[in-house]
Amino acid sequence: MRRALGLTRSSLALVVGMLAPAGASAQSLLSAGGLGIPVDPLDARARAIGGVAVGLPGGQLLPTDPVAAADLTVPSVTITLANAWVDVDQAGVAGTASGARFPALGVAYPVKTWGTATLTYGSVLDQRWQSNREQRLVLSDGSARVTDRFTSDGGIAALRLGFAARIAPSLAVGGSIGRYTGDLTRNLTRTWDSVDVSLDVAPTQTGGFWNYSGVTATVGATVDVAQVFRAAANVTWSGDVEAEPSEDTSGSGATFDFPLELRIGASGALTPGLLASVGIVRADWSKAGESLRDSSGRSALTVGGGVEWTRASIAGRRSPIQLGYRRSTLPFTLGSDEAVETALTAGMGIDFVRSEAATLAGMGIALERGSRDAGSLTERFWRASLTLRVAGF
Amino acid sequence: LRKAILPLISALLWTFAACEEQTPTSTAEGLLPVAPVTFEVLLPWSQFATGASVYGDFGVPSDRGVGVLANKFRALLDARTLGHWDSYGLDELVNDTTGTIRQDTLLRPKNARIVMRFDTLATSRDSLITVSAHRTLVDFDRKTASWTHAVDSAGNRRPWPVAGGGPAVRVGQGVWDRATSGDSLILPVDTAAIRAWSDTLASGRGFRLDVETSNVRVEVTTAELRFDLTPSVRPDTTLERAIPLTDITFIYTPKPTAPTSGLRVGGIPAWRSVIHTQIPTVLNGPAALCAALGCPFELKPERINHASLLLTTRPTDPPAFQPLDTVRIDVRSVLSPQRLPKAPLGTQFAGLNGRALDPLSFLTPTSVTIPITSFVLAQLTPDTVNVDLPPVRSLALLAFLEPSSISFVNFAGPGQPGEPRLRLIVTASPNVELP
Repeated sequence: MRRALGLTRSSLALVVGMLAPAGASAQSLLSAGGLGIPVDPLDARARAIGGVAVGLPGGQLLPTDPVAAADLTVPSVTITLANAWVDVDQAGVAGTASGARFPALGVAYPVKTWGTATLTYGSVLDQRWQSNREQRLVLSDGSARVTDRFTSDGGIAALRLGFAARIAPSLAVGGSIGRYTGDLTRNLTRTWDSVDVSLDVAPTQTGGFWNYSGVTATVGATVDVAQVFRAAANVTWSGDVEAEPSEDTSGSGATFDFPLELRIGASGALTPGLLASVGIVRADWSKAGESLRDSSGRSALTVGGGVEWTRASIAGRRSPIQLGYRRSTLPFTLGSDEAVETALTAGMGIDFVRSEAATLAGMGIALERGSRDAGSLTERFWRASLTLRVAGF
Repeated sequence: LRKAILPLISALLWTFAACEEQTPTSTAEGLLPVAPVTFEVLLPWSQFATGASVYGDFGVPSDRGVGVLANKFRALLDARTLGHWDSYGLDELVNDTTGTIRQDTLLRPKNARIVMRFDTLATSRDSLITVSAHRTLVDFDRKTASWTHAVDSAGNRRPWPVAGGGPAVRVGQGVWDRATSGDSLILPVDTAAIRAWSDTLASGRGFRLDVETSNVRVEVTTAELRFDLTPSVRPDTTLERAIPLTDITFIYTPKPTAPTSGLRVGGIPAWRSVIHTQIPTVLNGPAALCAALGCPFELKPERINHASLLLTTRPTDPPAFQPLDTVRIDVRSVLSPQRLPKAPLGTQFAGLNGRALDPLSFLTPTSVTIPITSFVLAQLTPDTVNVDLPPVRSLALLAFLEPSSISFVNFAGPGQPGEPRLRLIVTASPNVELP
């Protein structure tokens, strides 16, 4: 066991090193609205149970819930990957989008008997999108077709250092402090159709680069009642998030007042082996949206829930199955249109190696089928999430 | 745990491989956060140039390696072709009737002719052109020969006894008709000329070709002397000989004088025109640009999509030098204008093969566009490496592969109708800001 773990440790360190800079993306045109579209840094299990962010039974490593790590009694590493395939219909014009991202990464390490320290890196807002526009310009010797392409690439993520402790058999508390990271590149390029223009017309490029920075902190608690019911809540405070332009950027910087975010969730056993979970996430982005140009912020609310059948197994390995539903009002308008996302969720997990009290190697898969609507924009998406978890080294 | 590694890694790879990156893209008008504005600006000569000069005498006719024939072409131009044949003798080793190899010094030339080819595209007409061949009696220098001088080099200036390559002995005549003989003319010559041209000690071993038909201009691309020899020891045998050229050139009159106005390019010796520019750093018009972007409008390099020099053709004066074939012109930066007319030239702006222009475009004023974007950008971009070097501000208009033709072309110069203009396509965009 020790030899195998030694090999795994170096491999995982390499993988984590490669993934750490990667941002997260929801692959949505709604990223064009305000500061982007939120991407919850959840693992596959939480996504499969309707996106419940806190209050799920068992020990987990979630950037949004530092208390969830209280029951991780062995060192753990968790990586979540998400692929999305999106069909976009905007005022009758169809398109597609897709991509693979890493919305949540984390490491947990028990500190003596005091509790569990965590280091997580999770996505917050995705700002990747682009827009094309073609038009014909009249010149003295005819006309020429030009294409304006605007690209926005980047997003905001958060690196958090947390600690969770079970201070009583039925009560766990925890908190995290963190820093918002990320950047945004926005470029506009006007290119000329070389067939239309028999001249060497160079494209026009203009743009800017901004770095995001800010601090955040989360505190929360979990209450267990007779191992059949768990309720949890946390609140995340964020300071001003600064968008600092690079030296060669002509555009100005800005400060965004990120809101207080409240997460509440609960889970209970309906029958032996069958759990039900519900959760809400609420944040008022109105103030953060005050300095936006073509968008505004509003109160965002996510409500989700689902069930988990924990007694399923595959080849003798524990393989819980989850089903759920989620509905979210998104924090920023697209133009003046408010956006809503709904999704049906499902998933399953496999515990490859399990000790008496913990999963030493496991995998979770979630599949979501959902839609987003904002005015004339409709998106239907599939999203597959994969969480890999290795523990015990 | 080792058993778990393989499925874990397989799942990881599956997730990576399954999804292609495709950024969500909108074509909706409203989602473009900034709207660039593009304008086309035509700057008159006075706003981008400080002067123009025309320089001549680049190259000599022999550089071209062709001949030109003209006879009062458009009531003005006379041109004759001069050249030398390779040396040859009139003796051969011959098998006599007994089979013995003997040196025969009494070979008898017959059936002598000059086979010449014309550039049919550079010829003013295609039929019934009478060309005569002559044996020159005065030695001449192919590099410096002109209509008035057989030799015209430093310290050795000898005029022709008779201007125009004379005196000369007429040795033959032929009529070219493209319909029957294509691009070739077989011109019969006297066998006496074969003997004379074989004398390597004679000073007048050159040949001269004239066109007899008036108002004609043709270009001779090559010529070859051919004749048969009959051995005295074997009269039933004929030996064929083909003597190539060693050099070919042409002389013509009158020599064009430098233009008093306008721009001139081409000819042999060639003309070059140099334009001295001063690209403005701000624009104060046109009104539409000022209304949209505000004036003065700073002409930053990143705002310039395209810059081109607009020239307007003018009929060649005198018309005898009007181009008959496609004209290729080159436009290059002048690296050291203070050393003109021998200033070194820099970047080509008219493409690797020059800019091809239809000869008909020089009959009526026609606009010619030469892209010079990099030239304009270089003037507006400070050189941070060679800070002591002044920016290149002059452009030379010259023939591609100079000298290329006796023809030259004219463009309107400053102050003339159709004077050169600078065409700019500029785009300005508001700053890209945060959402």
